[in-house]
Amino acid sequence: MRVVLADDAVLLREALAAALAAAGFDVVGQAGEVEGLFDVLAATNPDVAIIDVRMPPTRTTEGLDAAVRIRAERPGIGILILSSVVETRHVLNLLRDAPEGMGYLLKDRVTDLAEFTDAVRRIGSGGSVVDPEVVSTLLGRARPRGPLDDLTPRERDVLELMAEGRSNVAIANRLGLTEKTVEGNVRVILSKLGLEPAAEDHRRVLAVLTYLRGA
Amino acid sequence: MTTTLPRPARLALLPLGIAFGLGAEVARLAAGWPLVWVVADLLPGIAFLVCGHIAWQRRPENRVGPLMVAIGFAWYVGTYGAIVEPAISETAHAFQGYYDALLAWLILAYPSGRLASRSSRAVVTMFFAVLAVRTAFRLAIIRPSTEYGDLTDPAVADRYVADVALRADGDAVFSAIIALLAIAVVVLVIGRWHDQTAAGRRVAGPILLGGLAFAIGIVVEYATGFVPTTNILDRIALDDLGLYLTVATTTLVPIGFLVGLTRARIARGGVADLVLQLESKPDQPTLREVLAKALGDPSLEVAYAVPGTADFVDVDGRTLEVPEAADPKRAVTRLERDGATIALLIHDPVLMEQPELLGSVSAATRLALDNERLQAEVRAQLEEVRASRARIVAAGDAERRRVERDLHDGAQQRLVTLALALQLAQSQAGRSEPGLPATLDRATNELELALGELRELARGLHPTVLVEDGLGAAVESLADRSPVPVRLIVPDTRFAPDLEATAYFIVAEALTNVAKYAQATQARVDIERRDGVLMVEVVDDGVGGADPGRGSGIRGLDDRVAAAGGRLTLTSRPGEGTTIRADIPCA
Repeated sequence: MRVVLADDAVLLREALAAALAAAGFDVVGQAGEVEGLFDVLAATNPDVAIIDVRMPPTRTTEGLDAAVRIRAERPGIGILILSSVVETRHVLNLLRDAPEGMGYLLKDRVTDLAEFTDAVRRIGSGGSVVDPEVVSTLLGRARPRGPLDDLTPRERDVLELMAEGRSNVAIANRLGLTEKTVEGNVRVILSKLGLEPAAEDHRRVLAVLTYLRGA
Repeated sequence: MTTTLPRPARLALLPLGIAFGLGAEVARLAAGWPLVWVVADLLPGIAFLVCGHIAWQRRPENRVGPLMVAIGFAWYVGTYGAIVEPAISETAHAFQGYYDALLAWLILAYPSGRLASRSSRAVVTMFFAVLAVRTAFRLAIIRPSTEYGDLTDPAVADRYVADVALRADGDAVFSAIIALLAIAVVVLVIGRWHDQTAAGRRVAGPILLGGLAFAIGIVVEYATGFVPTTNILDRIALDDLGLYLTVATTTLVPIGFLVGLTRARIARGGVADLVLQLESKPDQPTLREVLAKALGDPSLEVAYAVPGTADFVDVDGRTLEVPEAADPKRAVTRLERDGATIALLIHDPVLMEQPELLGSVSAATRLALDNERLQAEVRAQLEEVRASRARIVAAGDAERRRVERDLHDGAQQRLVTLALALQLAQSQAGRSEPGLPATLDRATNELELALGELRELARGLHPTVLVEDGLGAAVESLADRSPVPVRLIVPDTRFAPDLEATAYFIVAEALTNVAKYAQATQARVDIERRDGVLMVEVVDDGVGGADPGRGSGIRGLDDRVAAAGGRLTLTSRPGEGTTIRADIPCA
C-alpha cells in the first residue's frame, strides 16, 4: 500500500516512515507543509495520505483544510488525519460529506503500531476510522435517560467498535464472537437507536456518530 | 476716617446715641409736643444707630457703619431745639439737618463706603457746604427775641421783624438748594442703579431704593411749603405730613440695609444648593453657570490654572485675560490649594462687598474642583489598574497558549517519536534478548500514559479548540466531558480572543464545580450577547450553598471578569442550585 506522510515535525515523520516501511508499507513521499503535500500527491498518487492537523503557517487546522481539498481534487486518495487533541466536531466535519476512506486518529495511536497500520489499511480500502477516544467521549457524555440505556453491555461494546469504523468481522475478532452474532447485535442496536440499517460500514459509522452527538 | 475706632468705643456709641436721642425727645415731650410726633421722630435715629452698629461690627474698616451711626446722632441734633433755654435751642437749630448730607453720602457711597464718582463727591461736598453756610447764617442771624431789648420800642420791633423775615427768606433759599441737591442725589442713584450688575443690585439695591425715597421725600417736603393755603389748620396738617414723610422715607434707608443683609444671608444659604448641584452633576449645568447664579453675577468667569504655566483657561481651554488688580470693572478672587492658585473667579467688584458670600462660594468651588480633580485621579488610577489587570490576564493567556503549543509541538512530538523508536526496537529485539520485549512493552505503556497526561495537561492550560473554532465549539467540548448532562444555548459567533477565553474559563470552572460539589442532575450553559454585554450563565439544579470564597477558582474568575470590566455573581442558596453569571462588556 502506497502512503504519503505530511507533518512538519521531521523527526517524527521520519520515524513514522521507517515504522510504516518496516510494516510493509510503501512510503512514496513526505511533505512538511500543505503545498509540498499537493506536489507530492500529484507526483505519486498514493492510496493513503497521513496528515498532521497542525502544519505551517499557522499550525492550527491546516491539515483539515488540506483534507477537504484533497477530497475535492483527488477523491481516490484515502486520508488519515493525525491530531494532537481530540475534537469531535472536526471528526464529524471530516466524515459528514464523504466518510469512505477517511480517518481521524490521535497522534499517540502510532505507539500501537499494529493498531495504527491496521487503521491505515482500512482507510486504504475505503473504510472509516474514528479514534476510540472520540467514541468514548461521545458515549460517555452525560445525557438524560434514553435508548442508549437500553443497550446490553455487549451491545454497547459492539456499538463502540462500530463507531470506531470497524467491520463486523473485525468486531467479531476483537470481541471473540462469531460474525453472525455481531450481525445480530448490530441489527438490534440500530433498531433500538431507531437508525436505518446500513450496508456499508462507513455509512454506519456516520449514522452512529451523528446519533451519539445528537442524543 | 480710614482709621477705625477701638471696639469698646464702637460698642459705647450705641447706648450713647440712644440716650442722646431719648434726651432730645424727652425735651420735646416736655415742650408740649404730641406724643405721636415724638415717638415718630425717635424711630429713624434709633434705626440708624442700630443698623450702623451692626454694619460697623461686621466690617470695622468700612465707612458705612460709622456713617450710619453719625446719621443717628445727627438726626436728634435739631430735636434739641425744643429745649426752652434759648442758647441750646438756637445752637441746636443752627446745626439741624446735617443728616441730609450724611445720608446723601451714605447712599452714594454704599456699599463700599467710598464715593467712587466725581459727581457723587461733588454733590456730597456741596451738601455739607450748603449746610455749613446755613449753620453760619443761622448763628449770625438768629438770636433770641429777648436779646433785642424792648420789643415795644417800634425801632427794636422793626429790627426784630426784619431779622425774622431775613431768616425766613434765608431758610427758604437753603431749603431750595437742598431740594436741588436731593434731586441731584435722585439722578445719581438712578444712574448707579442703571450701571449695576445683578450682583450689584442685590447688594446695594435696597439701600439705593431707600435713598431714592429719602431724596424724593426731601423734594416733596420742600414742595409742600409751596402749597397755597391760608388756613392755619391746613398748614399744620401739611407740616404734619412733611414730618411723617421725612420719618418714613428716612427710615427706609436702614430698613433697606437690613433687607440687603437678609438677602446676603439667603444668598449664602444658596451656596448649599450650589454645593448640592456641584455634587450631583459636575458638568451639567456648568460650574460657571452654577457659580454665576449663586453669586448673582452673570458676568462671572471661572479661570482654571494651567499647571506648570502662569496661564489661565476657561472650561473649553481658551486662554482668559486676568484683569489687573486695579481694574475698576472686574475683580479677581483666587482659589488656592497648598499655596498654589488652582483657579480664579473673575467677577463684578461689587461682590467684594459681600466677602462672606464670596468666601462661601469660593470654598464650595474649591471643594468642587478638588473633588473633580480627585475623582479624575481615581478614575485614571482605576482605569490604569483595570488596564493592567487586563494586561496581566492577557499575558497569562498568551503564556498558557505558548506552553500548550510547546507541549504539543515539542514534548508530544518527541514522546511519539520515542514510542515509534520503541516499537522498532521491539520488532528488532524479540529474537536476541528474551526479557526485552516485555520491558519494551512496559516502556511503551508508560509512554502512552505520559502522552495521555500531557494531552490533558495541555487542554487544561488552553484548549486548542477555543482558538481554532471559537467559544461555541470549546464549550461544547466541555459539555461533552461533563459527567452531568449539560444543555447548551451558545452562539456560534466568534468574539475577541480575551473575551472568549474569559467566557470559556468561567464555563469550565463552573462545570468543574457542578461535577465536584453540586450533586446536580443537570446543568445549563447560556451564553448570549445583548446590548454590548456578553452574558455567561451556568445554572445547575444541585444542592446549592456554594461558598464564593471557596477555593481559588471562583476568586480567579472574579478577578478575570473584573479585569475585563465585567461583573461576576454567584447565587447559591442551599437547596436551590447554583448560578454563576458573568456580564462582560463586549464591543
